[in-house]
Amino acid sequence: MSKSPTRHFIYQRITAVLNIPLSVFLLYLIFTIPRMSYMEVSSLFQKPLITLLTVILIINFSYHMKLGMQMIIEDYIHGANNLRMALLLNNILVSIVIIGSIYSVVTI
Amino acid sequence: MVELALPRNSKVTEGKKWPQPENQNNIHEFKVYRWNPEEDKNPSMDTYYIDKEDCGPMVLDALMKIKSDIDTSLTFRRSCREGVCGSCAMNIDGVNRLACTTAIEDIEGAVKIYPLPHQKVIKDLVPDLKNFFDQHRSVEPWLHTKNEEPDQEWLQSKEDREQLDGLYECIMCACCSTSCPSYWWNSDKYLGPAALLQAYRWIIDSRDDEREARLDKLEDPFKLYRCHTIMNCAKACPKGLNPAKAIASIKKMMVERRVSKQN
Repeated sequence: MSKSPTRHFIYQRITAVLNIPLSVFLLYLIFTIPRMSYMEVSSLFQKPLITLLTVILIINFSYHMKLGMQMIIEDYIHGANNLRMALLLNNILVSIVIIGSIYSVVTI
Repeated sequence: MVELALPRNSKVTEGKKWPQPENQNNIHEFKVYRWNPEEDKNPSMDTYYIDKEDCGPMVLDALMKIKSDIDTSLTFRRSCREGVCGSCAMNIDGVNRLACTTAIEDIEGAVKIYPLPHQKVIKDLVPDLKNFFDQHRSVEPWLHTKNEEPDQEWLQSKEDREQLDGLYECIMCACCSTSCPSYWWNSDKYLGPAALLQAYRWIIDSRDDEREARLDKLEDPFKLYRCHTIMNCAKACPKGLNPAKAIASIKKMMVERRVSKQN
């Protein structure tokens, strides 16, 4: 459970606003990559700016997802133990998504 | 965990159908939720027929007609019959509203009447609002001031007084809170739109000296932040108030306070 609900509220809004320009970048990747060969994609992700933006995108999207999922869990999961377990699983899942995704991008 | 189905004893069954008045052309059908804790039966929907020529224009008039002329066992709250006391709040035709300010002719077909949603039912159309009023009490809806009590009233400027417009008119009928899905799921911890509207009414009162303490009390993941701007509260309010806007204003104050503390 969020120890500082106002901070949670602020981070939710900041990540939501950041998601707007990052979504434009994501659309660029979605429409560009299918037309490229593996070597071209590999060299694309070796450009520092593209790698940096992709890493920021992964972290921001995932953290926003974590905050949203936390809200849904707090809404619907009742009982202190169930709630604690669900929030822990949420944190683990998001950590796996972030680490796995960044690893994939930097080792492509 | 989430309950996806109603308990077996909560399923609403078809109830008694009372006889239709004969030789009348202006008949309106009413289907009313009935449940008596003293009987070991499921709730049911009883059907009544009212001659509109022999009844007042509002749903409350029809309920009083049913109680006095057809079925004296029907139980509901009512008092002022003019939208001031909030006693006759109930779910009419799928919307939480006051029976005394809802015209029968504005409802097409049978008028379906249930108690306010997601509250324990005491009997028929009477919900148990103890938790609702306890939550109202918890926001301490009275003036907290360190100033010496004046000889006459506590004065404030015209502009400061205008800040309370749209807030002080709340009649605590519970139409807003009981229409809020967040309140349905977490009414034990989330204060709900009505109590939060009242909390904001005292937070922005220029005569109150406990603004920070009042905001501190709301710094909780459940009391305030279960509001997800669903806006059912604003839609349901029979006085045309906007509790969602008041809640958003509290959240804005929380953010400003946090940001100013960090700077």
